[in-house]
Amino acid sequence: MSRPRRYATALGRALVLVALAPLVTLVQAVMLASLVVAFGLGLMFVFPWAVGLTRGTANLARAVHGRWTGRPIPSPYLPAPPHPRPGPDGRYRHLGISYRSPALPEFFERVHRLLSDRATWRDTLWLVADPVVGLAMAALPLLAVGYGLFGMALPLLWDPSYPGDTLADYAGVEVASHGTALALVPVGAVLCAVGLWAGPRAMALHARWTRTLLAPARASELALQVAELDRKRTAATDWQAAEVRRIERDLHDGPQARIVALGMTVSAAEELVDDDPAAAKVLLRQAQESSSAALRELRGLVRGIHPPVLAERGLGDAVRALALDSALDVRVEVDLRGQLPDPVQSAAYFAVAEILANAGKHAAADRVDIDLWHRDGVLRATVTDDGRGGAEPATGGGLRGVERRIKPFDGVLAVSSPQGGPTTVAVEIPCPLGEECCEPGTGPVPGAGAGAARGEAGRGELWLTALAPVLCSVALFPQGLVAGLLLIFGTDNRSWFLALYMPEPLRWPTVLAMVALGLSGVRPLLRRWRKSGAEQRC
Amino acid sequence: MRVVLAEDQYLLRDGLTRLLQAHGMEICAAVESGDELLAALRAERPDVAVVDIRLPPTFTDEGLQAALAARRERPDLPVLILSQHVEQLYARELLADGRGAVGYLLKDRVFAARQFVDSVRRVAEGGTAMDPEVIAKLLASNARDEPLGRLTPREREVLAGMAEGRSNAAIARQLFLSEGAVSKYTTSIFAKLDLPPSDDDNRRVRAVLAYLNGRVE
Repeated sequence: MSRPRRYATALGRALVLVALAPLVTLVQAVMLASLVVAFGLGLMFVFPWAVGLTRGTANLARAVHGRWTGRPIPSPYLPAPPHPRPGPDGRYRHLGISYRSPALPEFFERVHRLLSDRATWRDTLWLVADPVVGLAMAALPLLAVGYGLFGMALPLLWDPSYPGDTLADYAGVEVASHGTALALVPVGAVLCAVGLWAGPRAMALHARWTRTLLAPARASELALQVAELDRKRTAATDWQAAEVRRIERDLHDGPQARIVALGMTVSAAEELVDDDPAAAKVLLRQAQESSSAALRELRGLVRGIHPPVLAERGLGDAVRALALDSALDVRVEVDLRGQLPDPVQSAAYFAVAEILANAGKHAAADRVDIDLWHRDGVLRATVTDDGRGGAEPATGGGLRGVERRIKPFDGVLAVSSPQGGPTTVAVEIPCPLGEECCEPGTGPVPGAGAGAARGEAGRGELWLTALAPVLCSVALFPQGLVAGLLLIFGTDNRSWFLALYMPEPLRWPTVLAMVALGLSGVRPLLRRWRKSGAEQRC
Repeated sequence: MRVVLAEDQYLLRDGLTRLLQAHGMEICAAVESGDELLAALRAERPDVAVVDIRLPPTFTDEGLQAALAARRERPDLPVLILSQHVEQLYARELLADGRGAVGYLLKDRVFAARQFVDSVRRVAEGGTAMDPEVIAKLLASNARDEPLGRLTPREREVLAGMAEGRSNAAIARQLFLSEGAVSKYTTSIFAKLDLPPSDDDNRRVRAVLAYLNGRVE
């Protein structure tokens, strides 16, 4: 966006926020009144209604800022409680009291949920604070620009014939002559420039302020993450238990049965060996075949549990071996340096094997390209075939299985399969390469870092973002720079400029101290702005 | 005939030692790890090495790596690899240098003692001994190949026998054919696959393996 347009947009948005302020104030009044009525007079029924209104207003602010910054502010509210269920006697119980209709228990549940939701109270805090803090952030640049323009127009407006010979006082200086008016033009220009400069920054700050209070609190975010992890763990353990059952069944029906038969054959041969050596020989040969068959079955089973090549050579060569054994024409590209954790290797191997089998079975493909690489802490595998396409993870049992396998690792499956092909299936598993991830349990939890980075600004930062700009700009601009200008031009009107009240030797040091204080506060703020600007660009 | 044996499971190492000794071979070293194997191969310079793929300390493909390293130092060193499972990938690596004198067998082939000892001898003499399962896999992955598709079922059986490293006489015994018939089949196979004919068993086997090996690379 061009610079003038950026400044204009910021001022326009500031105007919108200023226009919204009365609405927020109105809702604030309603909410505070409802709190008094609900908890003071016991008229609880107004409370959910007022909270609904508050949430609507807060959602409006979320939507507005999400749209402006391009980073949506997620809704922080807990889901509504489930509908109450009647007991065996057809009545509804709540806190030991039995009700005939579900309406009252449902209402109590709802109120309880609203009261225990942190978001309700953060919303209320926002309602109370925003008409002051938010409005100040939005209005200050507008006022600075407006007042600056007025100052620049002073020489035109000043009229010596005006009664009292004064037009007004500007920035605390009485405009008593044309000269003073002219001298104040640069002050106006600086004010105007500062207003323009501050516009986009004030808007960024306002967005930050809104996000701080209206985005989900860290605790609600964690609660949501815990629920998701819990679901994943259940899925993973269920799947694992099913696998163990399958292996047990296969061992029982296959090798175990064969070895029993083998033992019986050998003892039969032992009994026959003296009387009928020829028959004993036949039996021994059978025993040998039995043992070979048992071994063959065990080999097949081992392949299904953990392929030996995977253990011996790692993922790259295991996939190459898979490609060699496939009846299709398979090319494999591998770019893996370093050691992947065993469980990830295994999941990725079986995922690729399953996708490859699907390509042969369902897609009637001839050629398959497998790419396997690791970059930026993510293991990626893509399998592309020239088959007839039309594969869907929702219906394709095989792809479902792939998804189940990679889910516990926060893996993602993406399928592109237009009718007529070609089909590309991509698997992504977040996983750092190297030693640190080889020990189970020591690897970084996926998503934890991201969550912390997205985390809420602390309470200290809240005050800093709200108060520091106001304090610093007051110190820097009117108390520092304007007072300095007045000292240079000399004036009798001391207005509210601290430096002018000082005894003569302390005047300039006070001005300089003000400027220094302003700058010291502005520097970290500038850094913060730059940072939040960078975040928004990302 | 002097043999270096590398196998980490005591029972199998012991059994193999007895078996080979019973067939008049001398076990000059029976080791149980990859490092010891490499040292023994350098020190003893055996006529053949019989090596388990998976050895301590890493229990990955330690044995295969040690054998391949020893063969880089001494290219004509005959190596017979034993494993609980066979992989085309490893077979291809063993065959890659095209020199022969390699074998790759499943461990359960040891049950058929005489055949196993024959395989050891064949490898020691510069021939090959490939497990039928490896050959089946190699043939299967070349199944869509045009010239291979033109072979008759009988010719495919003879081709598999050749690829395993067997001589005409051995193939004839296995398939209940006369040696003359086998030799006729081999001639027609070589013609169909467009390979240069050769009377030398070893060179012939190598040509077949190179053919199977080269197609999918």
